[in-house]
Amino acid sequence: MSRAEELARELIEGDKRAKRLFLDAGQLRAGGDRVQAFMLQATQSAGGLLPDLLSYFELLYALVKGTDRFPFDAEYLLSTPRGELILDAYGNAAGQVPAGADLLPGPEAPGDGDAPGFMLDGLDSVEAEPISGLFRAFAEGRINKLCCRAFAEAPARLAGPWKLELLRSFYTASGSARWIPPVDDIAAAERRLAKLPDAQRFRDQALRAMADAGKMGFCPAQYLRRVLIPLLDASPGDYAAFERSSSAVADCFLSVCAEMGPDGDGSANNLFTLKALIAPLAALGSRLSLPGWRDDPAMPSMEEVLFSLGRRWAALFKKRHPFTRELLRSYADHFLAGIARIETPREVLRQGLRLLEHVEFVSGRALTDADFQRFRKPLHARGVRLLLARAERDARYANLLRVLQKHFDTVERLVLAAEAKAIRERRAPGRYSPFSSPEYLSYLRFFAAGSFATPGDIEVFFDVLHGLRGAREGDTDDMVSIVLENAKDPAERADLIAFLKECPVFDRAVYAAWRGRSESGRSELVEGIRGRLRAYLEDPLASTAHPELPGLDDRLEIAFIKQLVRSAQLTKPRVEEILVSGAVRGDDPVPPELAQGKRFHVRERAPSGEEEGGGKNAHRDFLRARLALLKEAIDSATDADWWRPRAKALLAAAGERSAALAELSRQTEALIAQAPEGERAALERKRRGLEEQGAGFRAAASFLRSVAGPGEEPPEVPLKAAALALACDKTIAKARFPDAFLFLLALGLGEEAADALASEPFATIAEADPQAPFLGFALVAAMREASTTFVRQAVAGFFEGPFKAMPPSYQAQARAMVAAAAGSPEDNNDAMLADLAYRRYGAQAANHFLDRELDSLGGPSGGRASREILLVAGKRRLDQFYGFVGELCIAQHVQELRRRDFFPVRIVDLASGRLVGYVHLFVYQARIGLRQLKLAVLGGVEPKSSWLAYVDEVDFHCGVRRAAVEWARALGASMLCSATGAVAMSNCMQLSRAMQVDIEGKPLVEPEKPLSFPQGYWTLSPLAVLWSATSGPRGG
Amino acid sequence: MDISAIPGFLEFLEPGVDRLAHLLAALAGLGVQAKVLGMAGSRHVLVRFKDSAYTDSRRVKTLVAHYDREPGSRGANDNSAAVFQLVALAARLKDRRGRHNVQIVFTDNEEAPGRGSVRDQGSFGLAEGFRKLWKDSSCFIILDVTGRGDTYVLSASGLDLVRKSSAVPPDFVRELEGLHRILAWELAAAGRGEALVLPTPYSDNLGIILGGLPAAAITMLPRDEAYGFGLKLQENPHLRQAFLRPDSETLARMPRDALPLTWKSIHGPSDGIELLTEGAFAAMAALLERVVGMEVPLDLGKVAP
Repeated sequence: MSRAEELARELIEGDKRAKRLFLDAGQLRAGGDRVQAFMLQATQSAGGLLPDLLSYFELLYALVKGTDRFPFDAEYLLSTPRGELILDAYGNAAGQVPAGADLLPGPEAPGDGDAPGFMLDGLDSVEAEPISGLFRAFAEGRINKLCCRAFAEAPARLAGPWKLELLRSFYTASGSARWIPPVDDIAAAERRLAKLPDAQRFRDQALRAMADAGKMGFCPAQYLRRVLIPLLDASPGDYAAFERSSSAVADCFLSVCAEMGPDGDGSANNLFTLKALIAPLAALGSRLSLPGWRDDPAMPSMEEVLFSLGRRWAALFKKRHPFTRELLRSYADHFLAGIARIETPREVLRQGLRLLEHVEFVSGRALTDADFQRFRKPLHARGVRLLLARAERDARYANLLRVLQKHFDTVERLVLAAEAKAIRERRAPGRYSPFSSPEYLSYLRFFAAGSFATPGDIEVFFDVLHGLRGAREGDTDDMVSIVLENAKDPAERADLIAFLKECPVFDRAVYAAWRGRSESGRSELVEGIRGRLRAYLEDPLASTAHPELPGLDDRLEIAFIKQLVRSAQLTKPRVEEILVSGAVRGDDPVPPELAQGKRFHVRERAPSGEEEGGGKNAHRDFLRARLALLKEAIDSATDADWWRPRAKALLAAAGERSAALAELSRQTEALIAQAPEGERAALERKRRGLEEQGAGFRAAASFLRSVAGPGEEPPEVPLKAAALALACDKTIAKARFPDAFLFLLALGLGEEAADALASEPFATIAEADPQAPFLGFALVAAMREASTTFVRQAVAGFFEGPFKAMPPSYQAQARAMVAAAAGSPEDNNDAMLADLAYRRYGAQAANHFLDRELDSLGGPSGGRASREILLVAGKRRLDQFYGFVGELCIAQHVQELRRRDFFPVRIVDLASGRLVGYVHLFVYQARIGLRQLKLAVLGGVEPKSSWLAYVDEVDFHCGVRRAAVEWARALGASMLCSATGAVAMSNCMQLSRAMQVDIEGKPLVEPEKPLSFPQGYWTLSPLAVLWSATSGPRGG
Repeated sequence: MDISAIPGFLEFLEPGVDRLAHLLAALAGLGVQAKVLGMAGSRHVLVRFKDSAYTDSRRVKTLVAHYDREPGSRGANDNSAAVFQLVALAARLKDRRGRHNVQIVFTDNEEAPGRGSVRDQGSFGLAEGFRKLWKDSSCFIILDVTGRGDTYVLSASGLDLVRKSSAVPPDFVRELEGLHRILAWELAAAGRGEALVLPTPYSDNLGIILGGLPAAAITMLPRDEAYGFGLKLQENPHLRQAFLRPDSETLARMPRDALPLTWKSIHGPSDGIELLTEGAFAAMAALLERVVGMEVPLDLGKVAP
């Protein structure tokens, strides 16, 4: 063996992937020795194991394995940093050509005067090529590896009937590397055809159509999957119908291609027209796909429908508005599918044209990223999805279409109104967006929530919205929902609107009682309710009984709780559902000492510069980037397909980084050879570090690939989870932090959270313009709360959702990656891992800056106005929501209320009469050393961060601590302690920092049995002593 | 409580006043016996109570306040307030029964590091003298800048310094930790929680610690200033490092906006009575009473964590 060959062997054995392939090749039934020889020779000639080379080896192995023959004319082209290197394996690697070898004819030079173009004659003009033609096509970028493998490994039973040799030759001669393998779809079609007596006619027609589609630039496999199989299903066994409809659709393609020209959307290699225009029209259930309609003389011909839509489609895309495609995807395409399903061809045409007109209307106004974001397509798409689901459930598509038509009209009306207003106010173009009027946003929130079942509902919505003008700010959406649900006729609506404007809570029975009274009686009743609501909040023992509402105590309490519990994690119907289905309340009463509320004042922050818009942001670039991320996160939560391209982008990023690191490693190796002796060790360490980093990326990427599998559309849940695991990988996260952050949000958030993100206070985020010169206090405070609440929730949601859905082996790998990213041991429980990951993405990366920004915008708080705060412990039904009000990830642990040592303390802002958070107070007997002591422990101080942003956090902390000391004294506790972990102290980082200052250097105690909260999840130990009734322990 | 009505306080702030003579007169006026200790060029004032107030089974608690001041400063907060808070305590203790084990020292030349090395500080010589007089049976609690604010601050600087230094014997580090632990508990008990542990500029604790005796310093700050400074320390870890180089430039090295206003106002003409707060005097009186009742074991190194 020559030295060069030895070196090649060493290189192959040094690479895990290559080594395995080499060994596997030795096990092949035939041709394995030639594959091995080829690998050695090619490695030797290339001077190394380049990534492209490994791909070739894999391809070669797959071909030989699938065909039991070695392709002797294997030839490939490699792109290397040094230029193009062509290796002829026939001459250099495989030796002599044996008799009967499968030889590829050399490429023919195109004849002079050949006109570009093609004949739509299916596979008739395709000449069969040997299988080794795949190599050249692969080298020249006309086919991808997946297709090569698929053709090589195709089952023999399909090869003959489906003329796979010809189809393969068509792929290699006229294909694209973006085409997907056809074999799986052919198998699917075969399952439908196998038992038909004239199956071959169907197959031939399908192959003809596939090849013609391919000649027009569409992927034959996609065409089979999206058009032909639905057509087969539409007319099972009816060849004539299949032939007619597939020909008509093919004609439409031709028309679109001709209209749009080679550069237009929908031209060669563009799947979009196929997916968004053709597939919906040809889909199963579409009336266009039904046999017989074409023969009805009253109907327009299929050609007329398809050609007219095709022309309008092409005209729309010729406008070249940047977001036309985005508008159609997952939004307008549903409408097209809907009309195709139920309408006559004449209506399909009419309404299809109306749809395209609407798309043009919107896309002509959403010309920038900012405007398109304000349009908020995910909310439109979500509303359409809900309508579609309802239509499918009830099999009533007419309603879907009527609502959508009304929706298009409404959107256009609102946009035109906004434009007219801007003109009246003489606002310069570019200084306003037609998609940001409050009415538009409010309407969209309801549309996205599926509130409009009929076109009439939309009209009622606007009536109600106008009727509620001037009502309680921030509650408008809730009130609109109540009216839409509870008042059908106009007179009743007027009454209900008047009631809602007056009364702070809503209950049907209370409303009925109110309605039956005179004007003065109504006022008295409402006044009484107001008083009881306030008493209910401020006094944990207060009764909800109202003398004028006998028997309604319970209903009134539920109404109070619904009004008081404001949480991004809970909708009001969900609150009611929890209360009605069996609410948790403390079994033991609150001790009188704790039921005695403590009041104190906190100074307010007075945000500066917001009104005038003349303020300055200390971290403007960061804020803008963060705002854009949050906006996208909000969109992603409502966009079902958001994650897929990003998963691929992450995968690509892993590949890029891995390749870059490998190159750096190689360069370092070269440097080592030339470096003086003394510097070699350091360089070698550096090289090893680069190798390790590269290995990390490769591992992450191969993990994602292994989960995703080779198909075009891998299983969704594992891919999402794997993508998140990859996103969490430390090194990738550094390079692509925004993607990782968004993944956390997009994959972990549930529907309710998505709803919350679209509502107050987060709606301000969605409405804000990242390019605005100044981002005000309210917006930054909302961003701060969103960062805290949703990132934490999303991480926890990841473990609850995608993670649990993964197979156990993937769980182990994903856990290892998340743990590594979070800097945590793998055996931490999920909640702890989630928290650590949260800190990485939420607290450390962003909250620090947001806090500082709030500090600078809020200005000093000294000498300003103050608010009175009330702290009062409660164990009523209201208090089971302690975690929701505080926006905690442990909110689900409502059963903790039953603990005898736990007292949720309400934080009440007396100025607004709102419940703004909870303090978690524990009072229990603990053994510390030899002493048995009664301890009071602050196990978390959890105000809403959006509320805390407006008050001085040090004032607030000291007020809470003083109140807790007084309670501890009154209860006879020996000391008041605080939890010591930053997150255990408070989810609000501002407050947590102030508390950290307080506990720094304080005595620590470790009770023999540590406090656990929620039970079994978190351990609060050690505890810092904030106050002690006696001197501490003495030694000596 | 009217600070300006404390007998002798206003006069003590006058420029050019003989502060030693004035201090001795104030003590004498309250019937407190004191003697001047001349040590290494400094004249300290020692107040010891009757013998029945002391026991050998526990450490003597030496409460210290420097009576000198920076030239050009009126020295109201630095350190006349602490001096008169201890004078008032001495008056309360002179006839008290029981073994409180307290003695008080008013030190000279606290501001010395500005003019020379730490060993020039009066308290360094004092520690050497005390070691000779009472062996190792005393511990020192220094009050400095205690006339303004509502939040007790136990200085972390001395402990941070010895923990960082490899030259300090581990036994002494443990002793100092024990003293801090005891004081931290007392502050928690005295202040209803209004107490923080923060690095502070050095006071007499520096000289005493370098002299080989356990010492801890207590100061007071308004709450906003104390928390504000604590938050800045969290944001900027280098700030804490600055306290580990004890010299006259400690404060000067720090960014001005990082320091509490109270500290910025000392060592200059602005350190007048108008900066002092009555609440600080009341809070210190309460704390000193707890310190009087506090028991410090001889073996400080074994104080339980």
